[in-house]
Amino acid sequence: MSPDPVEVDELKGRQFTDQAMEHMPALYTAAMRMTRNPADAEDLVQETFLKAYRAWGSFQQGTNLRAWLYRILTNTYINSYRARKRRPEQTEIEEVEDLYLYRRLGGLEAAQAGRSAEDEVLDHFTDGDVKAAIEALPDQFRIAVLLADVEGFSYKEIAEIVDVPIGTVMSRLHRGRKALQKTLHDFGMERGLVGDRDG
Amino acid sequence: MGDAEMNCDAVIEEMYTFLDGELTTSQRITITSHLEGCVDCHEVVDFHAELKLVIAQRCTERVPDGLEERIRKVLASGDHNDPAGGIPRL
Repeated sequence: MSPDPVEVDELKGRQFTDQAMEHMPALYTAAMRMTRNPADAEDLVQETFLKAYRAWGSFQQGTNLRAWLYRILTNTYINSYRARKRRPEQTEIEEVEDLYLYRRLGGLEAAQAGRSAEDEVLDHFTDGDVKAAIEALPDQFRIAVLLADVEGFSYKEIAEIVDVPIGTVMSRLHRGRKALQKTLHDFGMERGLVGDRDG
Repeated sequence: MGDAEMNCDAVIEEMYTFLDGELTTSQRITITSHLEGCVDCHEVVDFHAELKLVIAQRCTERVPDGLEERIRKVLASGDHNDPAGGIPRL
């Protein structure tokens, strides 16, 4: 006697939901940084779950579920959201020197013993500053920085999620992080937190 | 890199692979021992470790009310018989 297809479907649905739903808050955070607005982020997460559910049969139990879900999220964002917005892929990024932020904060007088003044400046950046600085990055750099610094994926995992060689991941991270530091520095200057050592 | 001592430029060059946890144990030990003896590099690496933490911590979102429920409903209802749409396995 073959199993009742409805029961099989229910079992599959429960198994998927049990395992995948715990990753939903982190996927939503990533979706917010990708789409830059809550309505699109909700839709993107929902679409990601639907696609993941449909592809659940091809997921190998015991392999990296979190990376698999992020791969679907990232593909869905790139293939449908960016295409739908007709926003061309921006691949140019301003080149800035290494240690951009640190060098511009260097030499500040420490206000508290045991902690450098440079570190203390970081306390003044708000959640909004950090989010805006990430969202200002072009897609490929933004996704690399998000996956590494916010989600904590390894270079190898990121390479598999976005389907590029590890060297490309490292290069995008390197350039993306510098550009992000420049944006943070610009915010800091606007608010008088940091001075402009060049000017 | 190996057991040899590293100069400051080389340490700063490898700073992010160090902070990202991408180095081998022996590479990590080489950098850590340099940092113990070098105030300047220690301060640079410390700053970027802190920056990485700030980015991770100040970037989270509260999931909107009802989103989980909505997803559960969509998954529980209707037609999931579509093909996977070519989503490859990792």
